[in-house]
Amino acid sequence: MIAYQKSESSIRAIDAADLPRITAIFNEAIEAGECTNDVRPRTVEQMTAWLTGDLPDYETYVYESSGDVQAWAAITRYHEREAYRPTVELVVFVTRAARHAGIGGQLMNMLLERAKQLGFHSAVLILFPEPLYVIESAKKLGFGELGRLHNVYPAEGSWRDIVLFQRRL
Amino acid sequence: MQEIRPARESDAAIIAEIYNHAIEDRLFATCDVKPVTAESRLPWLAFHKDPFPAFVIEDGANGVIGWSALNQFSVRPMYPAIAELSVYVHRNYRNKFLGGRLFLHTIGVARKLGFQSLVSLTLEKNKPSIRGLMAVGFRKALILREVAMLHGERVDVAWLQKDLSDWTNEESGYMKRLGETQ
Repeated sequence: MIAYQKSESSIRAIDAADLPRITAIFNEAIEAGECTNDVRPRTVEQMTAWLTGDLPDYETYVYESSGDVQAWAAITRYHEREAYRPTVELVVFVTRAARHAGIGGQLMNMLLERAKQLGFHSAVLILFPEPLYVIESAKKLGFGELGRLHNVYPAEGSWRDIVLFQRRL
Repeated sequence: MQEIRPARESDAAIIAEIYNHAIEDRLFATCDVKPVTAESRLPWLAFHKDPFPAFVIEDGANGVIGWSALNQFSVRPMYPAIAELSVYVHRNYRNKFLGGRLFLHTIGVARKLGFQSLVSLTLEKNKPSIRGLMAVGFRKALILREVAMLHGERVDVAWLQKDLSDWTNEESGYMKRLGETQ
């Protein structure tokens, strides 16, 4: 595990007590239509199974500022099939009030470094085509845009695309 | 006479055997590494009812020589409008357009079930599958490079997608070719 310190904020590995807050931040993104991971909010139990069921190969971190968890990030299993083990999917969620302060980028850089240390070969991101600032950040972090699936995510009266990005570690 | 019908519990052993051919023959047709057991196909079959049915193709006295299934999209299982397509053919019956027949049958069922599109995650090295999928109207959406490690090699995987409102290629391309060979 690694920890980063920046003024009164810190990045640390999660413990069980963080799961309700992590779930709330995840569901905030789901409800805002910002997260491709699910089509409806998840329960704390579902989040626990997702983020802690595959330990120790996959890790989750929180970003804390003055005792308040404002963001979280995880190295997650990309695919259940064994041959896909060299690949991970990275996810970062920042609560709305703490956005545009560089926290997401800081977390993503940390995940990339950590995933490399863990011996993974490449990382993927699965994003919506908008907002553009998210796409631009992915590119700045060295991810290449691979392409998209068309009309797969339910949205009011229509369907949204998902876009895949990949980066060697 | 070959016939496609819904898979049933008694097909568990042959479904496992045909799937394991793909693993044993190192066809780069699956990212499973260890053979599956007949017993493991029982819960698999129990799950594979509408809207994710499984089918077998039977060849008279020779029995089941291939199978197909609709699955939840493996990377995002909760997406409601898409399904992932799998087709496997017995090693002694490959290259006889059985895969194509299973593709067409299962695509037709997916359309009736109301899916918007189908996806297939296919190893780039598995050219016969990619050709077959493209012949029935799938197009390459993207390619993940070195995403998997199989038989000691880093391999690429293509994601293919077929919009189920588009019938053109099915009718004009594959069906015609299929007809010519019979």
